[in-house]
Amino acid sequence: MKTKIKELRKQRKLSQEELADAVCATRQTITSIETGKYIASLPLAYRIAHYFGLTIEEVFDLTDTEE
Amino acid sequence: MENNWNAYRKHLKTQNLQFSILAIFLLGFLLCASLLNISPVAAEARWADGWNGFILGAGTAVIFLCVIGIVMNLRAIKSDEALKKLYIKEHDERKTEIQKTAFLAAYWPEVLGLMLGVIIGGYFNPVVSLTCLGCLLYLCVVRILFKIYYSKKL
Repeated sequence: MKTKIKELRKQRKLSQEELADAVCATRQTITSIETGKYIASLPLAYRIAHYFGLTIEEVFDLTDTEE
Repeated sequence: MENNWNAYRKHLKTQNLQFSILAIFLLGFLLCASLLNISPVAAEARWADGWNGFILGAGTAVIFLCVIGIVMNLRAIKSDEALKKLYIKEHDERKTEIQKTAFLAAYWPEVLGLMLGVIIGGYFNPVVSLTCLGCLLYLCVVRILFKIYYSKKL
């Protein structure tokens, strides 16, 4: 699943560690989500989107999952 | 979130109590076994010293791990930052997902390996074969019980 987390992070000059700490996840989880290897659960996706002040659909590209 | 931290702090205190009970029980058991000269292997056996050393070492290692666990938990209980770090480390969803997937995937290799041990071991040593059978039955019974429990719970 594609996400805009990396771009959003870079816009706000945030490290993966800082984002992970803010959303109660590990840095490795954030890395895996950014590279598309791991699909975040709904609560984690919500926390990430909420942290950036956006909706889940604006952060995560859900078009792949619709198929 | 505050409730989560307090609940987790309480969980760590309970865990510390469990570690303490286990460590004290093991220490007492090892001391009694040493003082009363209890040994599963006859003293004249060639490998008696080696086996007794192995059991003592394994017991000591478990006690040592309990102590490390208690120290880590105490550090987390006293500091909010350490508590949060430990909470994230233990409740990370990707880590939980990896554990679930790995344990599920490992189930059949474990069962097949033990079954092979029962069959092939039976031709060489009945004790080995029966031990493998005992482990296999224990594994299956525990898994079935947990499956029943979680089927009702979820």
